[in-house]
Amino acid sequence: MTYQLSLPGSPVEAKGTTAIELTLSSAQTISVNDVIAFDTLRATGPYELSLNTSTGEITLSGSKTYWVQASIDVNRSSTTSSFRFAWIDQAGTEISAANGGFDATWEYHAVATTTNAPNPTSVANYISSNPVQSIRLKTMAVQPASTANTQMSVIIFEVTP
Amino acid sequence: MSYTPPTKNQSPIWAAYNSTAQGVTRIANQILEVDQFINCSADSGASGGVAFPNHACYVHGEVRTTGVSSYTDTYTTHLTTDSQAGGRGYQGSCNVAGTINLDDGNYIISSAGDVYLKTYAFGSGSGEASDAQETRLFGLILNQ
Repeated sequence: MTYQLSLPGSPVEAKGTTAIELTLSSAQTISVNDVIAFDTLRATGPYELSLNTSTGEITLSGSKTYWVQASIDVNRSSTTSSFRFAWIDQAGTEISAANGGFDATWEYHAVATTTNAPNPTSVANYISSNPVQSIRLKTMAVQPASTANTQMSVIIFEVTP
Repeated sequence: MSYTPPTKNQSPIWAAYNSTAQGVTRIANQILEVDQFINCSADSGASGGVAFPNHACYVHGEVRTTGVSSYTDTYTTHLTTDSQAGGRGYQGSCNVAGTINLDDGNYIISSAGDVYLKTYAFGSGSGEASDAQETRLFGLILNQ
């Protein structure tokens, strides 16, 4: 029998990492509950995830570890509206922080509102070494007929643990 | 034959966060504590940071705050480690209409030691009751 043991510490290193970029080829009109349909993929090397370019659904590999970061760029149809985006799983359920999902939120504050007026979180993250089957970036809140701009993008680190 | 398994970070990608308001005061160098850990563990002193193996790591921190007086009621945060100071990210505690969108990101390349997200400096507003609603840290351990 042959054993192959890693040196101390080395199992946590990212042995093989591919960076993957998802973008929109054209702006998308969005309302609440719409999923961002990323349709363009670039990668720095081989990867195992797949992108449904019609729906924006990202199917993940169970043998990989992921860090997914969505940068938000939205034109609101009303200047007084807020927005929130979050990652959902294949069942349509928002992925909680305990399961590695973190939303991106921007809240409108009137000029007179100076208390309890949170800053935005700029990036919607998902991290997992035991990923769900697939993820989608869902519009959890926005004024109807707003626009997801082509500058909206996703960066994914797919790592062989 | 001896084998020493890794005992801290269990994955090249990790996260730590705190979704509970922390009662931040106008004290520079105050740790914005994380208390939930995904693929990592608390720093050795359990003081609100993340334990690190001695590997190169890219870290991204975010914090969501609230303010009490005006858009000038801001504070800056930065990431730091036991062995080196980190990059700072300008952080607004209030986001009044008509003002700019403030970046909530903090970024650092860490090489060794535990890592912390800390307050750095405060604006001119009355920040005594400003608070950190949510703190997030993400990391990618790199090849060496």
